[in-house]
Amino acid sequence: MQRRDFIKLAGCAALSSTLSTRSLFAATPPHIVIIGGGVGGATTAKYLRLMDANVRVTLIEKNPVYIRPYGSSEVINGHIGMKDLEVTYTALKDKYGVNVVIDEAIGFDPDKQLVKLWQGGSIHYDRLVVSPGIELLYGQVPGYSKTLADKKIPSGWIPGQQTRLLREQLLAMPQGGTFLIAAPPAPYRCPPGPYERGALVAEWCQKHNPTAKVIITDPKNKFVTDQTMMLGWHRRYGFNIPPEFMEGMPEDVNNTGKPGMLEWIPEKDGGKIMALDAENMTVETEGSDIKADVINIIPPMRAGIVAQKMGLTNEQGWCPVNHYSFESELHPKVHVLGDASVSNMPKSGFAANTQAKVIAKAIIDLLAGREPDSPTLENVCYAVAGRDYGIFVADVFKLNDKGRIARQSMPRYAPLDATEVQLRLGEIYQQTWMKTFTEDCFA
Amino acid sequence: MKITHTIIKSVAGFGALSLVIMLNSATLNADNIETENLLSRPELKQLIHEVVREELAAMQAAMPEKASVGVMSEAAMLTHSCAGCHGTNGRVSDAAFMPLAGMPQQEFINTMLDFRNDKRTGTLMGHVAKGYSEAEIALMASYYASLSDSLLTDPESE
Repeated sequence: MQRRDFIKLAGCAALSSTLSTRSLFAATPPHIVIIGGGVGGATTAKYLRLMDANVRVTLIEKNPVYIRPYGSSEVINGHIGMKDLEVTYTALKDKYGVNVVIDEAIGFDPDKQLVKLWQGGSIHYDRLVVSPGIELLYGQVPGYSKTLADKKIPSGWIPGQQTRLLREQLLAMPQGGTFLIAAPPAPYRCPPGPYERGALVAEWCQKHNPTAKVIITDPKNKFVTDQTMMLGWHRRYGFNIPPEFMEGMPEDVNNTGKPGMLEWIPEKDGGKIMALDAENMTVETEGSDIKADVINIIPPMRAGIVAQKMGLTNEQGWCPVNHYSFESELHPKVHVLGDASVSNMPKSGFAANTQAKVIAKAIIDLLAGREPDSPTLENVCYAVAGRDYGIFVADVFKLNDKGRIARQSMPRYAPLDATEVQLRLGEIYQQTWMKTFTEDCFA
Repeated sequence: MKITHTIIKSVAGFGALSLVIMLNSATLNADNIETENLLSRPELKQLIHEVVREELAAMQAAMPEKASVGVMSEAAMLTHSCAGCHGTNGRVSDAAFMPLAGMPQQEFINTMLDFRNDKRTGTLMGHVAKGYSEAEIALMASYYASLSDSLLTDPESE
């Protein structure tokens, strides 16, 4: 294995003209190994090679094709197909000279700085980056399990077969049926995601199943984009905006009090899910038992399994890191980023993408014996309330005096008085972003 | 609505995209036009593309000579946060987002400050711009100005 890798890496020394020719490491090129080829891992690999053409980069990923989670709810309403979520590693390999190894990391030796592979052998690293994504904790909802999620009660929060199943279940839902989404407790991947999914399902039902109901149960009393998403729900799906969210709402808001197509049950109204009765297609919440035709549970989550196996997680199941370099607080020379890491940033693709660039720079600085800089980070999440209705959350982050990531004080959401054209542009940008963002990470 | 674009073309020295938004919304409110009379979705996207290209074309004349600014410099690191939408090193395959590579320094600074001071309407750039200091904006501008522009790699612009 090591020999094969060496030969592959040697081949990568022929660099394309896109790469920087200056290097600190011409004599002894360091080797950076990345576990996980999602947004965080892929972006780290690409930017490491952009920043210094003489660092060798190996990316270990078990799936030969990446299925992007961002935008994957659009498969459920048929806006796109599963194929549209697929992203290849071709550009990372051919354009950036990243050594992509399709295999699974099964452990590591932090003293010898070796990553062990499922197919045998191990790879030595000078610095290790772990971008493990999330593990869904199905079992934390009594009555729920991975088996049920794969066959009957899909989660679809890591895109794949369960996403396809949700699509099929929506199509098969009887007229006037109920589609229930159980939103997860914080922290979780893609903060506006459950609410956007509710909107997309409601929009589909308006056209194909106009007497259907969409219910979102929630163990929280607010969510990212809440007021702006609720305004979209109100305008499109007859949602009644709760009084505590009415401040600053525009004049066209007219809560009728009549139930609309979409209903949101927050924690204070009994929205916390207590158990699932899959046989009777019923969800037990603190408030009541709700029977539904489609049940979509987004369970609690924690850092991806490989991070746990490597001892990178804390008691809550997430990975504590230094915010200058995202180096693990538990293992030196190992950096953890993306959804799995602990910070004030949302667990989003955009966050992982900007963290990856900070890590790439920090690793090169550390290898060169320099202290990493204090980084500036950003997050932008677009979300849609339906066709021609795009909203967002935007944040800039810097380190505070304790060296921890802190959100800069600035407005975060689309203005409540956004014009129709601004909302339409927001949706066009959301769609365009799916492409330009994927390119910044993978191409 | 066809007149909107003509008006934009005839007005120089403004953020053209913000003008699109203002004109559209003004028309929407004033005349209560039915949805089918509005620009269609492809037309709206096409309009963004055209406006972006016109803004860029207006800048070409002012392109400064290139200074070298490294991809790991403080300036570059700040811009890497823009790349999620505007492309790696400001080169983007879909010019619905303004390509930033090669943008004259002062143009970038003015645009960001206009966003920051709510003088230019947009979607989220007004928010993002408020997260950066004037010094940081100037640094970002210096990096993008140092790059050769490659808008013409956008296949739709041919």
